[in-house]
Amino acid sequence: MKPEDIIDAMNNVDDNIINEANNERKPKKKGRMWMKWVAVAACFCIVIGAVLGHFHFNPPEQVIDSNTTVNTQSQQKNPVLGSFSVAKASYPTMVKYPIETDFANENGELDWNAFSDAFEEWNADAEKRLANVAQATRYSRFFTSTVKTFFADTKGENLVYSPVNVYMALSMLAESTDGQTRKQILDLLGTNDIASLRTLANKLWMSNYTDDGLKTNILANSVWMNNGLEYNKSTLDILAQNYYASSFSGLMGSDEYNKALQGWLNEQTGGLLKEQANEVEFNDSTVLGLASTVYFKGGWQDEFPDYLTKADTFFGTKGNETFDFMYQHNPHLPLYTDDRFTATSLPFKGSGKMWLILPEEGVTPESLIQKGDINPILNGSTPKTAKNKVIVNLYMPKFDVVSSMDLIDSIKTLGVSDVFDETKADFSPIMPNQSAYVSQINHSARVTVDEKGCTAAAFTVIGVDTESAPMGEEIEFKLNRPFIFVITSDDSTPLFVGIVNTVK
Amino acid sequence: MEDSRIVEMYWERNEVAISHTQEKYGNYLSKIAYNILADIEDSKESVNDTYLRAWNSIPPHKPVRLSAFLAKIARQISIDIYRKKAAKKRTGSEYALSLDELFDCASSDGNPEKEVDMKALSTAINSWLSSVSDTQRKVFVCRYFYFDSVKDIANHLQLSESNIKSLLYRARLDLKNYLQKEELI
Repeated sequence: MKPEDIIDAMNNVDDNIINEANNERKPKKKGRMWMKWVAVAACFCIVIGAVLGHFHFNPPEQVIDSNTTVNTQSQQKNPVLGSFSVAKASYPTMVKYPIETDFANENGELDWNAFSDAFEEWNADAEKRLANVAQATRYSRFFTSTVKTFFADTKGENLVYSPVNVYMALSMLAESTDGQTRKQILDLLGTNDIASLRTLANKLWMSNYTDDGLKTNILANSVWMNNGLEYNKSTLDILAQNYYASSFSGLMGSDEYNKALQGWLNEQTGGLLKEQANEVEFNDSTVLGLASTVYFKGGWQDEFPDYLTKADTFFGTKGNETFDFMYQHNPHLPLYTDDRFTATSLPFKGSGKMWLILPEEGVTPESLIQKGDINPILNGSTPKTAKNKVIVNLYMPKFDVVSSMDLIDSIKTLGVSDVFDETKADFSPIMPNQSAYVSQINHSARVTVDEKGCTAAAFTVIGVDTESAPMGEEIEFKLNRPFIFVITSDDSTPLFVGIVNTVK
Repeated sequence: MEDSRIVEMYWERNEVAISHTQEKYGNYLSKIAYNILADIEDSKESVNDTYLRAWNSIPPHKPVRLSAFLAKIARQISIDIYRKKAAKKRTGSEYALSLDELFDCASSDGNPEKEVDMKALSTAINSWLSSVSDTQRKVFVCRYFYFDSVKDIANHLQLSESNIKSLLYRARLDLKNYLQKEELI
């Protein structure tokens, strides 16, 4: 007898015995059930620094009106962030997603009634937030024009951009300015007046901020002031109430204050952008800083099986390199084809998705963006050319892409100019006695993916296709050359857009 | 979807049965195929053939345990592919490792070419499995039916890897004795 005979005879083992063993064949949970969903995180930060114009350096001591002005003569010796804190934003609280293990009785059985009550409570809260959903189409002009401009020339490098993040930062900048300076920013943001921007930005914030234990998408804003200068309290209040902005005050240009800024950025971005954050600093001519961050983590609805990950070649702009590729065979993924690209979208647990757009051979990701091929996705709809009844064999590199850029030149080409010009910039709503202009807009972003998940946010329940015909055509979707990704939330707001020209 | 409903759909000749099978058991079958073949392309081929063979064999079959029924098909097809493409290097195939492990308990008669009564061998293995401890049975089936790695089994059963190895070793010795007693080897 040969070993093969035993193997063959094993195929006749009683089904009950096979079933008994199979019931054990599940990875054992450690800790909370949903922990495994949360694998990687992506985030970003943007800092706008307004620098004092050279001609007008007169630290004003006079108080305009004690009721409307915050005089920020405060502590600056302690490097701890808290010592610079003037006002901390209070965020909306969310009903936490119930954790099964919290509802177990002494015998380890789930108390279904208590669990389902808790679930209903979470669900009602989630629906209430969804009722607030922003319409991505309202922001679409901003999304498409900025993506086109920022990705105009990647020089073969990876580039990651967060539309929702820059929108937030520029909204705060619009609140801080007036006259023609503000109008140019409002035009770029796609609104006519500051009141409607405030409503839009607040909706965008509310519909994207999620921290319910199931998924995390944290947006944060802050205002950085200089000791001894006067700031208009009513504007600070607007920033606190509508943008949930915390405010800080310290000595601009001091090491301690810069460390506090970097500490805040690192804290809000989960330490993912340490290198980039530590290069951001204000100098002694800075009079105002506005900072926005987004931190996001989510698990794939369909995880990639670990044992199918294997090395393969990525034909990137830096030559052919070998990386780990994850693989899944998924009959539920949609597929869109076009002369110039193929696209699919990978849903996150709960809501949101990551779009993967693979240009045809000979087409670059940059040219797809320039010609507007991906605009429908940025505008919250889908490409027109869906291909039904296919099974997608998805090969995706385990990528970790990061980029850092200064947006000033790009934003200038989008029609915003006065805010950068010290003779024209009008910052009267926030600093009544100060002439100032924007000297830096640093935008850094990072997105990483692995078998368990990525980073993106918010709610959308992806409908499972129950009507798909069986055994459809199989399509190889192999992201082994430069491609584009777009992470969208449940209201289709593009949270992150990136080009992967090389995997690392 | 309930297995019984899926099986009914096969009987109704409703092709949607296959996509439900794929949805519910796709990953499960891929894992079995991959444990044997250690190759994505071959595993895909095997799993697709499994759907086809399930379609062709239900009816007449009406499996009560669809997961076990499908597992047996995928396992058999994958082993067939393995043998057909024997020349292919399959580093890390758990199936190949399992074969080595079973060598000792199979060839004691010194005559590997001797014709085996497959029916008698199957009956003997079934009754032997019913006689051993629960843990030993589960570990043995995970290893030599599903071809799970020792590491996976250790994780699934919350035991150490060396524990699993010695459980398997003792099980193989025990099986060998049993088969000798039954005069099968």
